[in-house]
Amino acid sequence: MPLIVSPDELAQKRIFLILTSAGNIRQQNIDLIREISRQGYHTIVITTNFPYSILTKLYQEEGIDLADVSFIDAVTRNSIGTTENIPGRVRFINNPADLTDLGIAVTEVIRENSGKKVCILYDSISTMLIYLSSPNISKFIHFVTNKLRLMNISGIFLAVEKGLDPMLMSQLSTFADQVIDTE
Amino acid sequence: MVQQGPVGRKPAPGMFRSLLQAIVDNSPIPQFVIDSNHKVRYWNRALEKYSGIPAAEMIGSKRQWKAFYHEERPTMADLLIDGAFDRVARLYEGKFSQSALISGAYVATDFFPTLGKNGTWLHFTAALLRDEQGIVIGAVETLEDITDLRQAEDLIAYMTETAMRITHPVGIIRDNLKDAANLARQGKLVPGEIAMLLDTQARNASQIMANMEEFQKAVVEKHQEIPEAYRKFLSG
Repeated sequence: MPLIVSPDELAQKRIFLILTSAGNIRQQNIDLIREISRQGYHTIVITTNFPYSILTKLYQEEGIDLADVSFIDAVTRNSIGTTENIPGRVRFINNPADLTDLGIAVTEVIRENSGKKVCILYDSISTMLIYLSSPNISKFIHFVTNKLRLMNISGIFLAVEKGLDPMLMSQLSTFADQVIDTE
Repeated sequence: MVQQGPVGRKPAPGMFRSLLQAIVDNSPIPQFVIDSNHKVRYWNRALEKYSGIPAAEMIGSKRQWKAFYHEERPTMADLLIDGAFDRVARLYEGKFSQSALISGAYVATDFFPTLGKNGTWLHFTAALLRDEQGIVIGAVETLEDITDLRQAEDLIAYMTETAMRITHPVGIIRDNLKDAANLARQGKLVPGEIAMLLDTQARNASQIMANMEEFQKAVVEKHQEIPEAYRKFLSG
């Protein structure tokens, strides 16, 4: 099966925007984690779509070693209320719209994993549209991509193709080094 | 059939002046003319009605600014007379351009908070008037009230954003529910996990409803001219 992201470009700490169909986004997430883990990366998954507990279960079923993955989960607390963070494994955010907390979590989890080959997987920009306006999403993604570049870390942003408004799409394309349409 | 006057006869003295007065006065478009000393020469009826300032008060004065601004400042026509193109750029930054139709004329669109009940959006054109030798003898400024158009554009922008913030998120919920159903059918989820996924989607749906309420409120607040029946619906 061909690789979604080129190992060379990942090694160059590039930022990718991956467009996929709504029906395929979860599988794309799993395929990417598997692919990145095999290349020796530790992946920090920022999930606004599926809760951490279910993602870990699905990853395990697909044979992904959870030692290679940590999570920032913006779903679980929003759905079921209080949940304690698990140091080194998962950090929960109260609400996907709480960009301040999300920004702090990204910084801290990257710091926790300093010294490792790290890649960020953001799943997904599309779900953020439920909680935030396009301009606010754009500002936040700009903030995250700037941080990744400063810290010399590669990042992969997942979005459902045809779901984003053209203005947001064009801004996101300028933040990313490469836009990959998997459909 | 249109009656035509005699042709080939030499016009009587002052006839052109009267004709010009009649043309400017009867134009349905608000406009004024100033001479090269910035004094108002014509202030037509449409502008009288629009600004509430009678021509008799303006003719011969340099108070053309009074119709548009709180304090004294040049109008676009004044700036053209003075050749102050740098000031045009400064006073109308991001709001002006050169006319595509008339060489040397400028067009601008701006909001005038003191005009009308809730302010007015005006699209205005100023052009120099020259004599046969090309010497500047004055300037004319015409004004078009585009407030309704701007409000309609705002409304369309609101509706587009609203549509986008409904259709796309509803699609996400649909796809996530389908995905959850598939995982449940494949036996990959325990009841607690299914409940969590359903809770997540219910929370997403609640957020969409909150977004819509916020949009409806904003639309009603911003667009006072929405008919009462729609207003009631939008206000919930």
